[in-house]
Amino acid sequence: MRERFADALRSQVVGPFLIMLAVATAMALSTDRFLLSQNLKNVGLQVAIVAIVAIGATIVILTAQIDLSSGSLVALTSVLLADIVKNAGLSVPLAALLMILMGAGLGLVNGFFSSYGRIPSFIFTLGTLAIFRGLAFQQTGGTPIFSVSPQLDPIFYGELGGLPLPFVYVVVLYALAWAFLIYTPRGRQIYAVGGNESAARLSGINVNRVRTEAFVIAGALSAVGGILLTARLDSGSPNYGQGLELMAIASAVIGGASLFGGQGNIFATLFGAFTIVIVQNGLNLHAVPSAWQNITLGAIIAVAVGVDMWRGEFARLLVRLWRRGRAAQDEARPTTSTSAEDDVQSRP
Amino acid sequence: MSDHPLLELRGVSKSFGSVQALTDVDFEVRAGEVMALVGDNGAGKSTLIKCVAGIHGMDDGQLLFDGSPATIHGPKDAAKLGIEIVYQDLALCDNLDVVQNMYLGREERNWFHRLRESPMEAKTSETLRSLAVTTIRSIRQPVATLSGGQRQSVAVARAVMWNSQLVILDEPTAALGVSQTEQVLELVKRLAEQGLAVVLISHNLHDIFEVATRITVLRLGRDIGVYERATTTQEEVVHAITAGIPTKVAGIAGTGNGAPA
Ligand SMILES: Nc1ncnc2c1ncn2[C@@H]1O[C@H](COP(=O)(O)OP(=O)(O)O)[C@@H](O)[C@H]1O
Ligand SMILES: [Mg+2]
Repeated sequence: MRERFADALRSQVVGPFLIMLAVATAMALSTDRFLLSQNLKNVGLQVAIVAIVAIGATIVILTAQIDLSSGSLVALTSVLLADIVKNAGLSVPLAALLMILMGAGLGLVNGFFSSYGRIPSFIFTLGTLAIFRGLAFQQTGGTPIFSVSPQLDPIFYGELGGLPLPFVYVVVLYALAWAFLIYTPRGRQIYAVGGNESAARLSGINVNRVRTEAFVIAGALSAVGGILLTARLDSGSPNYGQGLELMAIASAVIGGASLFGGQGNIFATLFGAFTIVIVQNGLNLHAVPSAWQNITLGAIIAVAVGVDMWRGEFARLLVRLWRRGRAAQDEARPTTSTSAEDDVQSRP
Repeated sequence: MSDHPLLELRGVSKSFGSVQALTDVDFEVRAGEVMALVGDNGAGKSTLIKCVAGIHGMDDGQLLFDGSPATIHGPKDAAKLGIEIVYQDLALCDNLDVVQNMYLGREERNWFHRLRESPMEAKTSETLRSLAVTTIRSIRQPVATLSGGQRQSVAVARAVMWNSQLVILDEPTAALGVSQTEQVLELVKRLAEQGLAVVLISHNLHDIFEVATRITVLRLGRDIGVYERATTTQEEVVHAITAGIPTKVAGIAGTGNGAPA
């Protein structure tokens, strides 16, 4: 029985994987430079930050909420980290830890007001999207902080056992997220809250708390993204992370997560992140102007969400057909068991 | 059957804004009996049991469990007392499978907070088997793919799995076919025989007279009275449902001054 469950999971991952493969093939066929090892390495480094922020986006979306503030939180983390390391002289590990705590705390604010406070998360995090970036500009007076610290470089460009660290972070964080979602009661409750909020509540699940925790996780992961971006560029800037929230959400949705909640697979999100970054990379290689890149990203999101909507219809249609098929089967097979007729609506 | 009530409600009132859903309602159920709770649509049946579950706070009134006053603030408190409720608006998650729904909110876990799937699967299978629910092909099937009757079976099975003392079923047969209804009614009888207190909400009198020990009638949010199944008739109960006058305020016409249904 567990095998069947695993099958279902795998099938959720196959589609997004094929999409990623198709996009990569298209890029490889259209430009020779795509498959250059330097370019592939670039894609890998670029995908890491998107993919990590997308974990949080997915978990929040699973609870039928949305976090629009992650890109701004990346920027805020970046300038604060640069500031406290360069100007206040904090050691990088301590500063990074503080940033993750701050991210979790700001996630708590997002989660608290969108669940206990009953402000739709779409609206509330739109507010914090503006607030966090505003704070980031406020912090530096709008100018980036360059040459922060030589200690930052190894965080992003270091290696562990020959593997680039960003790769290691992605593997570890995705494994943790997967274990959390599939193997812990809380992970299951996240799916339950997104699947049927009132059923979850009637079953004694503290829906507000589950949702708040999802935002806390997302906030902490955005901070991780901000730290990595700062380390990668050895600078903090209030302009970092623009549109990153859309890329993260798009990764989840391309990976099959439903914006209605309760549906989604964390590994599928990873393929979604790859798809987004490969498209962006391909457009760069083809020297497509950035305005058109934005338009493309927007179009991809629109299509992915559209597919999410149609998929619901499509699935319902399949279930109906399947049931009709079964009913026909049961009719055709004469049976003494009375339990076959359970769809009959014939109470007096 | 014991002769003191397992659950007793005294003088429960509840309003939603200007809608007076319950007015001074008394209710009780004993271990080993099936207490039917009947009344027209909007009479306040679901509201009454949601007060028991702590989903709605009572404006007024008292709840006694096993003779002593108890306060229930939510489904968890109710479960702690051994009260399980199958809600009318089916409380299942379509995106989760049968096992996941059976254990929703109280998943088995080990010391490391890891879900223990095997015992959950075993207990789910065992419970479904003990209730003679045989049509579900896989307990790892998402609930979305089940039929109405199968979903109801899962909901009932979930309520009885927890060694509960009191099981409340809110219109469990409303969406079921004939044979599935019989199965659920059989199940209800069996629960009472096993010594559980059962509250069965229905407005199908045929079902009620088949399984109930006693019948409480609600009308326009007031309780009209309790009838012994053995000594009453369908006519008397129908009359109570449609035109009954609350005995507690004898002398005041039952019609006209109640909350609109
Ligand atoms: N959550 C609610 N908010 C407002 N009114 C409600 C709510 N729940 C029930 N009511 C009202 O209370 C009355 C009793 O409803 P209910 O208990 O559902 O009746 P029954 O289950 O007997 O059909 C109805 O008038 C209904 O409209
Ligand atoms: Mg009702």
